[in-house]
Amino acid sequence: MTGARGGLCVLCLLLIASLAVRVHAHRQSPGIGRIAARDVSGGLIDLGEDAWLPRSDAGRRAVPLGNCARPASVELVRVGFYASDPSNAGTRSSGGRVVFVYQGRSLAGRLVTVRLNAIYFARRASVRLGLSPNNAADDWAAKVVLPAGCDASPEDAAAALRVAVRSQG
Amino acid sequence: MDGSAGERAGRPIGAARTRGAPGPDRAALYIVLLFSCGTCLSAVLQRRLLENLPSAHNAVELSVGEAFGLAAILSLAFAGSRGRLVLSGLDIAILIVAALAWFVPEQHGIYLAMTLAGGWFVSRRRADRTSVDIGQIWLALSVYELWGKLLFKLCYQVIEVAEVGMISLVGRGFYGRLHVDGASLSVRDDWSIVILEGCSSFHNLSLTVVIWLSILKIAAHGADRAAFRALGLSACLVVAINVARILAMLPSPASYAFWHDGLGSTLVALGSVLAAIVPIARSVQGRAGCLGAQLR
Repeated sequence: MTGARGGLCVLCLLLIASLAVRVHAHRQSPGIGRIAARDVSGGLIDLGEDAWLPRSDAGRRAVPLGNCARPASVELVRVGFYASDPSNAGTRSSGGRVVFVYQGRSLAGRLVTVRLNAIYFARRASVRLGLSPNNAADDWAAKVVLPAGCDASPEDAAAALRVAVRSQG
Repeated sequence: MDGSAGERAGRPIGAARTRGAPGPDRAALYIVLLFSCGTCLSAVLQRRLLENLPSAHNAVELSVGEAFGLAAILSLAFAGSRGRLVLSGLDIAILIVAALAWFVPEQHGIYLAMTLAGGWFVSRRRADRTSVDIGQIWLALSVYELWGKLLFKLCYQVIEVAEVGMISLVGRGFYGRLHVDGASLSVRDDWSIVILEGCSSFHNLSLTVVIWLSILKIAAHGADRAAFRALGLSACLVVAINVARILAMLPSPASYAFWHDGLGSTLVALGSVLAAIVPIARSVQGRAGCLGAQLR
């Protein structure tokens, strides 16, 4: 019984502390909606291996691939729970394959939208928990459309995109 | 008084068992109630103080599941009809560790507390059925508030295809020239709506399950075939109400404003809650009527 009462006291203290932390955070916050307020003025999109694509500089572009006769086309698409399906956004693949480069990872395949959402969620959760900085370009991915007949892997496509971005300075 | 004495005296079996059961351990009772209320209170405070205030529609929708879950826990803890509530030292330690999730700075993440505690209470073999029932309610609440929403967000673009297909199938029976383009629906050239994750017809199904389970626990009623039929009916009604709501938004911006943000959205929320309550309540009431007739 003493142990139960001790447990009850600890739970009471935890509840009081958590409520106090929230009230304190509320008083410190500039206003409701501060979490939603994000700088969208020109972030960098992480292509991995220390290659960054400025969002403001990101029109549609062609990226040459070593083994393929025709270049791959690259454009930016929005990722997130409230965005349209990135697989359907931008250029529709006509016989070719689509590879997404998002947060340094190259992704392709059937459940690519779910995987993009999972990475997006992990990023948002780490920002909310204060584990990583609020990066305005978190919700943009590079969509690489490989031409039909090109057998380059997703990793090859991502590497070619990094080379193209670095070469443009 | 035991069950057989109750039958001889012509009293309902459930009531005789309730009176015959020993009273709950006060400290265990208060710990369970504090944990349940503390988790809900932390989530409410988080969304009221630190996150965008939801619309009236969301406010109704979000608090109903918590209210039903808490009512079921109160009923289970105080009635004691399924055995005396007993907590071991390890149970209390698990509850304290789980309560650390009260500090998560996100309203849904706080329900990690109920996932951990509910998983522990349900997975362990226990003498008292009350703890298992309370664990089930905690798990249902955490699925409703956290895991269901997360899974839905991750997979919505996949679900969207089926969702829009279903809405367009029904909508063609009402609108002659319903046009579908991806997630966009329109019945006229200058106005269209886009179905986003928050508007999905399947969004309230986990709330329906929480209400269904809570009513079953409050009524001390098992999940039999009739109960599952009632759950299926509720799910169909909830989906149908939301499909009707989305179709009602199509004619004009004014109808969109009414059904999406205005009084219409509140009516839909209340209608969905009633659709979740009425079938299972009628099922439970019908079963109680049959039992009463047999005893007479």
